Amino acid sequence: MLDSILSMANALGTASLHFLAFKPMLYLVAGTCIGLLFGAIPGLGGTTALALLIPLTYGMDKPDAIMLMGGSMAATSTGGSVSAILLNTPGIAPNAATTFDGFPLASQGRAGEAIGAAATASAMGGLIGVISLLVVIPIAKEIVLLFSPPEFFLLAVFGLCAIAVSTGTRLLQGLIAAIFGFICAFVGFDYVSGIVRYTYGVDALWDGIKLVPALIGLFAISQMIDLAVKGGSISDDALQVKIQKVTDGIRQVFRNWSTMLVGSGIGTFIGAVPGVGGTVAAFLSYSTQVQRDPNPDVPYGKGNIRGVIAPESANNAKDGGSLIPTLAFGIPGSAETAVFLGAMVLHGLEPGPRLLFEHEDVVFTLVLTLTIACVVATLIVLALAKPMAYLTLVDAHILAPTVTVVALVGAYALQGEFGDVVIAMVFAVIGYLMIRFDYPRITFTIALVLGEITERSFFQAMGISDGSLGIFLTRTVSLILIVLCIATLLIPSFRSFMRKRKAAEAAGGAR
Amino acid sequence: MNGAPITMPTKLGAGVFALALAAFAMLHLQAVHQTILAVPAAIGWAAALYAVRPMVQKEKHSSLYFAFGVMAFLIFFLHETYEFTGKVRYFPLIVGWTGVALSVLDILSLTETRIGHAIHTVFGGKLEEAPGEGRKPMREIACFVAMAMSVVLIWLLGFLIASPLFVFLWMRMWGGKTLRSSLYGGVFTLAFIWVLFEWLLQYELYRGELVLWLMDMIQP
Amino acid sequence: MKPAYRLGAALIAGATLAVAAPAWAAGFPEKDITFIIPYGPGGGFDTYVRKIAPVMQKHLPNKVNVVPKNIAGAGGNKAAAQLYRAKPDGYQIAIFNMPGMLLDKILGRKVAFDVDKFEWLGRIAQSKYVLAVGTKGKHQSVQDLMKAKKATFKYAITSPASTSYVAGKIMGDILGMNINFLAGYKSSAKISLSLVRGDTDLSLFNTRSLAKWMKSGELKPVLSFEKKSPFKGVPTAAEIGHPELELLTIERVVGTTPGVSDKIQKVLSDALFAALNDPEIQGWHKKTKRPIDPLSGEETKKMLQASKVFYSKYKDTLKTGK
Repeated sequence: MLDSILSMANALGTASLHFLAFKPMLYLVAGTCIGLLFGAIPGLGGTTALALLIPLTYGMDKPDAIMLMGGSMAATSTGGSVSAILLNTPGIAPNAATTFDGFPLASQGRAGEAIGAAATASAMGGLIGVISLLVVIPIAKEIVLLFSPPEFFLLAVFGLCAIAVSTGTRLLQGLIAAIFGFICAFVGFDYVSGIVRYTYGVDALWDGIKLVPALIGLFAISQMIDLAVKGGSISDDALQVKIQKVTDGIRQVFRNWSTMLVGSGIGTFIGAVPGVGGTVAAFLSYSTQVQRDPNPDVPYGKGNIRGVIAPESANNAKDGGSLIPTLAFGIPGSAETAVFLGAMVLHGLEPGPRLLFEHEDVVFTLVLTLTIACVVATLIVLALAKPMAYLTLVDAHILAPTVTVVALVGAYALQGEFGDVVIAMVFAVIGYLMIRFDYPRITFTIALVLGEITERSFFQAMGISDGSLGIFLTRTVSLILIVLCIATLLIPSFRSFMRKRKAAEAAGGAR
Repeated sequence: MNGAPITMPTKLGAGVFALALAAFAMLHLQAVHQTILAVPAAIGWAAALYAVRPMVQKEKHSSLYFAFGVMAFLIFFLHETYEFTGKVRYFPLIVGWTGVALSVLDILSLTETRIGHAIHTVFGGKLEEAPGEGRKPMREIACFVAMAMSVVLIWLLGFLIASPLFVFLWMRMWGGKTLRSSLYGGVFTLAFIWVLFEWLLQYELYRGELVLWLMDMIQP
Repeated sequence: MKPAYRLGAALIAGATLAVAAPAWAAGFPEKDITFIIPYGPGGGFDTYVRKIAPVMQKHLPNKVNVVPKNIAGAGGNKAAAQLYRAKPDGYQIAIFNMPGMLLDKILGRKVAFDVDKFEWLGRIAQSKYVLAVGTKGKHQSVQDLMKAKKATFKYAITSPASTSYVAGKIMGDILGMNINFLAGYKSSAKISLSLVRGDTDLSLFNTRSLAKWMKSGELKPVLSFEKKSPFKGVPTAAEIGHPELELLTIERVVGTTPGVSDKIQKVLSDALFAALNDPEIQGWHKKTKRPIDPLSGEETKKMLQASKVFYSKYKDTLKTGK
């Protein structure tokens, strides 16, 4: 144990030497800027950034390549939070949860403050994720092995429960929206049976309804329809936009440090489970925050700054967490790490279960890159937050058409498929109808994300247990998750029960 | 808490709805998957709408129609799902029928009846006024048409021509901007898309069917 | 990097003619060739194409680029359908996972392309399987596995339409093992993890990817499908009396749209073959131990024909599996 810690410290020291030179730092900053830009534009994301950077890294040294690519990997979700807040458009899927309170804040003229909080939470989350990574390296293997299909299934169910409860007064509509999310998740190739469902011969649907075009439609374009119908601009409070302070946002993160810590914890943990991803991490963190805070000063969904801090700290912490399976078994914990490892193969590195022992330098260079890139990305965003906030004052009839076309280009760029443009537009109309008739988009999104995992891992679990449902009850982690699900569902009614009793007691005392 | 009295036609409509839904489910379980099943489904659906409408406040009628639209979609989804067998339809069926049940509750929660109020208490129904109420339907339709137009334009002319055109047309015709600022808007959009996607990222953006066809005509 | 005329083409169709016209005279290829990878970035097929594409363009006339492009979806079928419907001008080529693509046709499933009609340009590599078990499992040798007639073994697969399923099913048939297939493991890493955890009992690997897991002692090979076993003390298929297992392979072949002219096929095929024998690729092969087994277009066609005959024999076995 001590040995391994000493050798870790040694490797960390060697790796940090790369960061003192000018040229590698330049690569890191360049990578960070690319990551921010790719994160901010819906449709582009970390995987696209990395895929495009790969050819550039051919001629580079390994550490330089890692810094360029790692920098862009770490910065995307920070960039994505900016468009989530300003335009209600998650730049990448994990920023979807940020829109729920970020955009209302922007409408109130507090976009700068929200961006400040998001960027700071991102940096803190990223740092906590990396630190947790270093702490858990010795038990990384065990953590990854804890999760089998039964646990994946229950984790998905837990996510759905948590979100359903966090919709508050619109539970019924929230559940119906979730049903729709599920239905959309069924579309496409079904891994369990090997056949294709509900595609009606449309090629673009073969691989299911892709999350990114759906989110672009559901959030970005639908919001533009809403804006165009209502007229005006995102924020009508020009004075507030001018007087707001970005530093207030930064301060908010430290004032709400527990929100940030819990969010980072959830992010790291979910990141460590391969195949779940940052979107779920951010959603879970958001709904946990809603539940931890039963009597908020500002209702969630109406511009509560903690609703921005929670998901943003989680979706950055997940970068550190997603390296846990990479270190334990050499398998990627996220789509970005998958491409990253692919690129490393071209540089002659073989990801495998012994990655940590054979390529310590690579691992620690990456860890340090992620750390520094988080901070650099945040500094850049903080510097630009105020001027970017003025976007919320732009007239609807300029903003709506421009954002719509750029969003559509983004939907197309994802896979170069025109069908995705149509999907984005269909979801734009659905999203607008949901705004109009007050069906929460949050449950729709989470069901769309989790639907496939739920179904697939259920049948896998049944296969493992030879068809017995008992498998969900006989495993420790499964049991914990079941308890969490039940607790989540009961907490709101328990709270209201307690409140009523207290009120009754108070009334009794007064008499 | 005292809702409107439940009239005879309402009871009748609800009965027809329940029967139709049962017939729909039974016939599907007998593996009769014909389009003809649309008939009982449609009758039941219409009967339910007829039954419920008088009990809903006028201001909530658009929400009611939307809720009925949701139910129609769910029944269609179930119909499609019964085409599959075994594991393939296991989850979709659970989800579909749960959806229909929730949808019935949703519709009932809109009514001014005792059941409607009860559902409100249990689930916490809709806010008193949906944020969409009071919007101009004509404007909404115009906006949908504009959006659909953008997709058609892109399909025909490709991003590089359609995007600036769309921005220009919208700003000029709907936004009432001056010719000059509309032009600036279009050119700026084109510049942004071209510089970022085509030039920096080396993407080949969609060229448009019409443009490709024209190019084929010109080339030997 | 890309010829400038492309951009102009979109804006003014006339300009295309002016710039592109001289190129027509020089013959194929006059613009970039897209090398389609039918899976997402980061996997084995992706690695091969990204490594080979830049070498292949060195061996093509007219200084054009070979641009890798991931078109993931529907287990590779989406890319195949797209290539099938493309203009037969040879500007799109794709890497295929071979028994996988043949399968739909053999089993009579409806897909949007006819695999027999593609024009084959060559083979990049062939991998052979090795059967492995988790080191914590009950059965630790192939003899144990074959003796346990009553046991049902769990075997993780991606989907019942995948190569891993076909190979496992045929192997089970030949060795007389009862195998229960669990679908939905989206990558080979997840299949390996299920074995490490003990959720499943056995799985087929390609020889090279198993080596990674053996070093850390989590998985153990029990039967090699190669002629000569690469693992010490592990029997080969022939040694246990089932040499027909040697015919189970994973072929990475390259094809293009049906109807591409022979002349263009030859240009592409020659460039691919030359690239595979290029010192750069051969050096990479030696360093990373990734297999490189070049076959010409003609030989690839023959090989695929033989493999079709082989898999057709198991048509009924594979069908009952669903």
